[in-house]
Amino acid sequence: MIALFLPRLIQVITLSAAAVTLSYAAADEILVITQPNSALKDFSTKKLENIFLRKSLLNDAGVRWIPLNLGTEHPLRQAFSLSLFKKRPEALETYWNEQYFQGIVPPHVVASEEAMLRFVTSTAGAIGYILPCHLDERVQVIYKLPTVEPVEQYCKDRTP
Amino acid sequence: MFKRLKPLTVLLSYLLLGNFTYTFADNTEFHFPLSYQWGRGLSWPAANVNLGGYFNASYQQPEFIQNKTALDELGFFFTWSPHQRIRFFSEIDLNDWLSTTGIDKIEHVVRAERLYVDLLATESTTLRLGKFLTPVGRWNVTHAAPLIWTTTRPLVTERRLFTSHASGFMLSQKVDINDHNLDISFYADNSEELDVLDNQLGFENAIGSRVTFDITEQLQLGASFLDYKNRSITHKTRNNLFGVDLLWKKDGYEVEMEAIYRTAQDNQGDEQGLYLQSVIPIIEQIFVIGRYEYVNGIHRYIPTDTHIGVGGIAWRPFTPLVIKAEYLFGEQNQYVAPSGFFTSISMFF
Repeated sequence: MIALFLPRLIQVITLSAAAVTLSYAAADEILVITQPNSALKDFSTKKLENIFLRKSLLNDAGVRWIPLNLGTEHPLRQAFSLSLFKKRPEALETYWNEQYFQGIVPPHVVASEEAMLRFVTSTAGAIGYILPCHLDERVQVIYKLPTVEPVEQYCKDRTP
Repeated sequence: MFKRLKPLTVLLSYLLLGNFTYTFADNTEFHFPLSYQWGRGLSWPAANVNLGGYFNASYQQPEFIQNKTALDELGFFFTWSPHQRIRFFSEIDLNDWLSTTGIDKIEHVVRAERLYVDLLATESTTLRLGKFLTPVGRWNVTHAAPLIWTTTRPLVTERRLFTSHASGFMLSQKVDINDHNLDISFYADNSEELDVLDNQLGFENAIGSRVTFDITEQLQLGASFLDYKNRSITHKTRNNLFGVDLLWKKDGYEVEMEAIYRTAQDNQGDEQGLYLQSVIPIIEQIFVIGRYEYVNGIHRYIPTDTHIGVGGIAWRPFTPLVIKAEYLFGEQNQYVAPSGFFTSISMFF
């Protein structure tokens, strides 16, 4: 009896564990996106940090980075900021004050993930971020940023 | 005449209405309008232009010297990036224009504090041409009143020790070492030939370098070297200046330190000093600041062995705005930094 059910039990447990793992991986990362066919290489969290802090102004191909943000209240912006900088967007205001004195202003803000997708699709050098559930063929994923807290619940918040 | 003005009017209307768009592949348009944000300036994203600035007004009550209320600084920024590899920046200041001791003529107070173009050679290499802040220590390159914590400036960062800006070129290189940023800069100055809209205390010429390294997210170390000759009476022969600095920041707490050693071959002799400043958040954007300074040697031709303490408070009710009050005291400081009460309000606009 045991010999009969054991393989089936192991299969069920394994599949369940895999499903949980996949679900976790898909939900707990933010996708960093650019135009399709961007020839970008050696991407890292530090590089992403430097782009969104506007310490790095040009990409490998010599094209100006145009980083995009969602509004500071947007839950995905909060999750992105916490995951990348370990700080909420509001905590970076002092940094942006210093950059303003150097003639550097923060990334442009768009109203929604759809706006981000559309801007990135049409603009060379634009770089933004979306949830995995909102990914489509218009953009290229160049980096998967692990999040410090689950973001799956924001999938319903897509604003056209 | 009106015909001549028409194209300009159209251009200005276009600017003011903010009709700047990016066109998407599906021929729909995305608006990034002309916009103003307090503390971030007037932004015209489609043209990569930003206009902004800051002001600082103070009341100073030093011992044995006349009290003064003044508009110390009124600065205007202009940033323009006409090409992805080119970035132009200028800061035009009116310094000590209005005060209770008098109103100065505009032509006496206007200065080009910074006027340069950055050429982005690669992702990590930048060549700067023009007039820029002398990269010695941290204070001098972030000296705008809304960014700093006190009305008074530490002696070791003073303009009379080394000139606050240089005119020439600077080559900067960013290096990523195991996810830690290392910035290296070399610069050469020929202010005697190149300086504009300034200044009696400038360099005659100088060369220098600066290195900064982010040890952690919170801790940055820096080192500076400067070899210079001034146009002014003081420091007439060549001077060498060495400096180290440190900044630690976490959760609103800050510790900042700069130390310098300057040497010259004339009767200016040597000079060394440091400041150590700490910032502690108390409640709701109110911070307590403590600073210790020590300077020893010949400072502005005055032999000094000076100890200074500064105790103050700063309130930042909004990000671009700061109100400060402090008391400065010390030993043998009456000629170089008189004791007294100092308060100011400053704001980015």
